[in-house]
Amino acid sequence: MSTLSQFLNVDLLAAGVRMATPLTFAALGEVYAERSGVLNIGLEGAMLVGAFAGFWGAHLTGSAWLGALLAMAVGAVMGLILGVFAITLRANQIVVGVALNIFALGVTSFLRTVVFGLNTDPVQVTGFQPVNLGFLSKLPFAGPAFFQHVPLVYVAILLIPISNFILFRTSWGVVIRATGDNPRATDTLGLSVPEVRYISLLVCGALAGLGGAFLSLGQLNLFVENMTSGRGYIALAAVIFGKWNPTGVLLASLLFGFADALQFRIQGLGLPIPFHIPLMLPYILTLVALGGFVGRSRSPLALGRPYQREAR
Amino acid sequence: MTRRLSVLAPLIGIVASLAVCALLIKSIGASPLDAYLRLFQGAFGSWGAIQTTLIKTSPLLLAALGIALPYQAGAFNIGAEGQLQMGAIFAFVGGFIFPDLPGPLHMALALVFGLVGGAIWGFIPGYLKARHGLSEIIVTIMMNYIGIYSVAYFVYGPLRDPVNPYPQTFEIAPTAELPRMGPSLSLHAGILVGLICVVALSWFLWRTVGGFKLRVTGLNPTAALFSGYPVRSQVTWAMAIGGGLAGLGGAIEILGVYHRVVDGFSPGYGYLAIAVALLGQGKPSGVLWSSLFFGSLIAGSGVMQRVAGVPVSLVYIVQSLALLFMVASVAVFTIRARSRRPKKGAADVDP
Repeated sequence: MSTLSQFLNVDLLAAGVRMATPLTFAALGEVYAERSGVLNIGLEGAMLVGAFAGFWGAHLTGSAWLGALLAMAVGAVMGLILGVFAITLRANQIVVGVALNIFALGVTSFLRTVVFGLNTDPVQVTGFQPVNLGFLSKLPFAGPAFFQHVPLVYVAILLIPISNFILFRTSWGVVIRATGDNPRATDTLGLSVPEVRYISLLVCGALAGLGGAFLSLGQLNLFVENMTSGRGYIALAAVIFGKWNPTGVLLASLLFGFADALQFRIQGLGLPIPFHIPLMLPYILTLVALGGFVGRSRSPLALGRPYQREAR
Repeated sequence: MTRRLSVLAPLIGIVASLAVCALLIKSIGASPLDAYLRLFQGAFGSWGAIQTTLIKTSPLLLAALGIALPYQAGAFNIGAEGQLQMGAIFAFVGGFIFPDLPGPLHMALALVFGLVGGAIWGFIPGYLKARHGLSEIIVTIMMNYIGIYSVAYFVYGPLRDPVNPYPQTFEIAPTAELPRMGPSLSLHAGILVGLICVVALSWFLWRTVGGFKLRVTGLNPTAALFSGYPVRSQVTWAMAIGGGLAGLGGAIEILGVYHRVVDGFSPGYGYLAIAVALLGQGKPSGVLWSSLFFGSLIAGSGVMQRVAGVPVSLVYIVQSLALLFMVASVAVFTIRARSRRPKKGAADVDP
């Protein structure tokens, strides 16, 4: 019983919420990109450069917030590069995304070595501090689980209703969704398909960068090589499992984040449970969802296809 | 795309990438010329260096072929990493059981095991695409991680060698090991496996009816369908065989280099292979050259870091920029060619 309470406790829940946050940011960004018709495989890369930029920015300025701002800017640049290739040059989105992921791995490792030295101890910066939400933080159980986190956790959660509103209650949302399903309709209305997709990609990159910054500034306050280690791909899975909806994406991220916390806990306590099972869980669940076994999730119709005005 | 462009574009990509990275090297106070010389020296400067280059090239080559084949059929295999790892664990199983088999037979059997392991991991997304219309891109990404973590589960769990503190499996039987290319060489026969596959794949794609149909399916699925080609089964089998080729890439790492499955044995060969396959224009001969380019960068990067003081991670930047510049040059050439084409009248002009 004592082992069980050591294992399944409020810390695990809190860790799950923490692990879900970078996924929520990145997956929410990807919702904008995919809803506008661009499949951004480069999500992993945008998160990774965000993690490094956030760390470096906080190191230079001493402020985690300025670091996070830099991370968003650099992430948006990654979105812009994808846009130039995938929208303006009409290159294959997957090819460019793959290249950007390798580029991000190279450039962050390179800069880390150049700026912080080859074999030095990991440099720590001042990251985000947990906020005190008054009586909420003092609640038994719910307090430590949900109300003692760093501010970015609440930013991520706040972005969900905001995104729901933007995507489903504003004309901009209609335009974004129309562009993803039927870009010719957007074009016929006299709106620019490239413009809509560029803006969506900038938002996507900035949010992914912020998710990356959470990894380096919201948990350990340091940067290690390839620190995202596939979280961008989990976020891609969360978009599908969340059926391209902000609320669904939040729930998927929470589930996947909890699975991540679970496998860390199993490893940390040295329990004789295979910790690779929770690691696999997000991908298995997503495949099951794709196969339509738990209610079909449908992707935007024009997803992944460059728009050619002159083509019929 | 014209034949000339398909040779020219990758070269433009590589030259432009090396030029941009030279500026990067200069910006950290090192000499670009020195760094590139050391890179070359580390990759080709001695017999040992050349062997290392070829050892690094082999899994990249096989995994990239495993992407090139489905690419010709119009399917994008992002799952080479998972297929490679499944191939590795299957090859280990083949090399671990049946210890009484004679040498060459046992080795061949272990290779076939690797092929089958990868092929299973390629067949599933191929089948799901052909029969249920699921995006092979998304499915292979998911299958990658399911495969990687499944292999890790066995390496940490049931197949783990308890004597060693580092998570790795037991050793395969010596009869299953790939032979070395010479008595005093570290180079194993994996590169031969790769070269055989290059020749076989080139022959299949450009000298057989099946290859022709496969390429038509890739270029224009509607035309293939109206011609009565078995589009669905072609896509399924191209993915399965592609997965098998990537699986062979994992198998030769285990049978030739490690002789056991070591946790994290693949430094992302399957992901890099996507870039290799694309830089090689999805053609077996092109893939051969681009895998040699990537392999030499990996092999030479250590010397570059030690002697010239440029971090090894530079090679990732070189590789990704080469791909991006190639994509850009193809796009620019295509757009220019299109705009140069004379307008045939009002029908071509946007309303």
